[in-house]
Amino acid sequence: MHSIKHIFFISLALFLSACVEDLAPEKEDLRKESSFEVKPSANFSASTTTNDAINLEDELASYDAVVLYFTMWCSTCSGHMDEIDYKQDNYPNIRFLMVDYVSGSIAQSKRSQRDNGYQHMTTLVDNNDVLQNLYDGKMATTVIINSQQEIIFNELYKNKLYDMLDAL
Amino acid sequence: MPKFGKKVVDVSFDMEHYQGKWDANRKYIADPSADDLNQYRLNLGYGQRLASNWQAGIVVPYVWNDNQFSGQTTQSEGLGDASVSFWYEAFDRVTCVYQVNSIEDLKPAMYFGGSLTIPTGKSAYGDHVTDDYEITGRGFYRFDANFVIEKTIYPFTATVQGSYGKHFARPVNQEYGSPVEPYTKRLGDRKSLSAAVGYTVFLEDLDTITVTTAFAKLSEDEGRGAGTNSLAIEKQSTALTAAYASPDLTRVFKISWSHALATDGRGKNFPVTDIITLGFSYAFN
Repeated sequence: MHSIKHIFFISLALFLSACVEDLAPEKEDLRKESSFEVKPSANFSASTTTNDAINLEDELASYDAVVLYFTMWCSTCSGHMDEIDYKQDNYPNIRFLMVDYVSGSIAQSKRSQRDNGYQHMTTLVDNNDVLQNLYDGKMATTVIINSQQEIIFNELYKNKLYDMLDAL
Repeated sequence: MPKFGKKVVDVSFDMEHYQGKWDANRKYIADPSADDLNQYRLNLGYGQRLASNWQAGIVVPYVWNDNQFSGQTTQSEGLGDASVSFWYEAFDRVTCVYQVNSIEDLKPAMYFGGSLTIPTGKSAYGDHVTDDYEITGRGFYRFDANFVIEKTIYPFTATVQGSYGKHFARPVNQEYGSPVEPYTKRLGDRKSLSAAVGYTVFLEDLDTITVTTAFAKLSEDEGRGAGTNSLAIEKQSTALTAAYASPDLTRVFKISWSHALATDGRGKNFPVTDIITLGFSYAFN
């Protein structure tokens, strides 16, 4: 019985140490470029969940910058969107647009937006993956496009977003 | 593990169903009716008595995620976060009594322990996760100091248990599969406290059925680090458990329903879920 127990614990230790990814996380920088390179953004047009057409150039004519937040309506996304919702009043010259890149249709996106309680936040429906491809959008990807139509920030959502907006 | 037990094997299966969430303002938002978010966990546990008052244990979960949301269907699976624990029993004899005849009979069973959570699951900071629905673990080591105080005066049992956990800092160089500027992250301290009352019915052969109701509160402080925010979280829940124990207490079958309190003010930045657990444990004398 003792040998079975020892075999069990040794096997478990080997299993836990060898087959998983995070037990000894590394600091190595995995990015292709260590600093973010400002790039021009192509213009885009997209429909909102209320069937309004949004055009990037038009928005930048009225605002100092456009912020895009890619949501899949998950709990992490909700936490970020709540924070954006709370803070966006501090930035009246910035246009905040949520991007639903998972729903696939205006009707479905509208349902997801309503059911999750974000009707008051302008949401673009990226049903043809245009924005996803343009900005390599994934869950929580956040993009700032400045008035020169340059992408000055394209990362997962973090507080640095607001530092960048403050600096505009 | 019973006082007389030398080792115990515990197998349980959790079925967790998402019912909604509490937002940052502690407001409850119900899950969209078209969504169906579920997580299933098979927990394999083993406990070993090391000395008359000391025991150690390990639990390894395997996790399945099965989600339908916004017209999408996703499924993923993998090892969850394992945990190892050590417990000291601050009592030498079984403290359950049938009636109180002396002050000594009021002495509760007290357990003090430490547990280490090992990030064996798939986390937002590893290679295999691109969104929330694929996560099976937190990605951080955590050490918890735990206590359990329990008193049984048949047919009633009262239990209070709590824990205080500290996450270890770790380097992060990717989030949800996207490389990020390397930084150091530490999740906030985690606290839990629960109180339970149970009632035991003796059956013909002195086997028992115990029904327990509990209230639990779990919270975690805001995390630290330059990356994606880890918000402060809170959850309040109740639980109802029915357990059958054989007369010699070697076999215990358990079914439990944990219900997060789906009303405003009972949580923050946290999913509201119901968890049904089926479990079986066998103690070797």
